[in-house]
Amino acid sequence: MTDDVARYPDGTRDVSCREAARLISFRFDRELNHDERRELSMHLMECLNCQRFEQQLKLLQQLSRQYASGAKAPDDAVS
Amino acid sequence: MRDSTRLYEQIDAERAYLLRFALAKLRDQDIAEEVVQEALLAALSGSANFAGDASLRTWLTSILKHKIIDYQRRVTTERERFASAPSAGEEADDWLDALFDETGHWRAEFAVWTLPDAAHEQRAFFAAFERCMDKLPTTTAQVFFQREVMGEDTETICKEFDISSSNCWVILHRARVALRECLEKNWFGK
Ligand SMILES: [Zn+2]
Repeated sequence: MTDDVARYPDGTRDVSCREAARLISFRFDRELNHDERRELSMHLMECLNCQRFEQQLKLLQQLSRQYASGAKAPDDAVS
Repeated sequence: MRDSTRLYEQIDAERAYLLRFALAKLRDQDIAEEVVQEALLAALSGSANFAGDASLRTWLTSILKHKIIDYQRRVTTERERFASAPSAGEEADDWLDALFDETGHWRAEFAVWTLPDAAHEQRAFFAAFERCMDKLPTTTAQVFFQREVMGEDTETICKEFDISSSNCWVILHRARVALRECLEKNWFGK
């Protein structure tokens, strides 16, 4: 980490998409600490791509669970 | 009542999924195939017990889980656990780096994803999903499968693969980013 990190007026670190993406992903597996939560929410407020990234990971999770129960089979559903 | 030839075909159609499941748990192709075979035989001989209210995949998975546990018990009592720890990073991060510019921002603009709706669309999606999972490095794929498909908690997975939790989180992150890229290219972005 460099010393001259960009910060918001309140002192929160201005993180890059690269770091934000890690936090978005980590949030599926563990709780974020106070600083991480602030950094992420500040970033998400102004980054459309990371908002989409988060939405996509949610769908990915939903679809993975659906995959575990098998896709619905229209032709075989009623027999 | 289901006619038995048809049920046989349907059960056989689930073989590929079950093999993935077994492989994520057992991490050995031959053993996985053997255990799946056992599970399928048990399913066929007990097919009368298939109530049809759960999906066929769910029912077969529960039989397979028992077979996997049986196998693991057998092995643990016979000899010590043979699991070898995957290398810490497993792979270089070059491909991940390439997704970001010098300032650490995404290079590409992402699409808005919508859920595959119709059943045929869903089946085509899961085929694409499987192809994308197959492109992941082995351990990454297995960790992802256990976490997101099987819904295991990270602590259990870490122990099983003998890796630290932070390593586990990073592996999962890589898996998600790689799958995202692959699915956007091959499915959602089309
Ligand atoms: Zn961003």
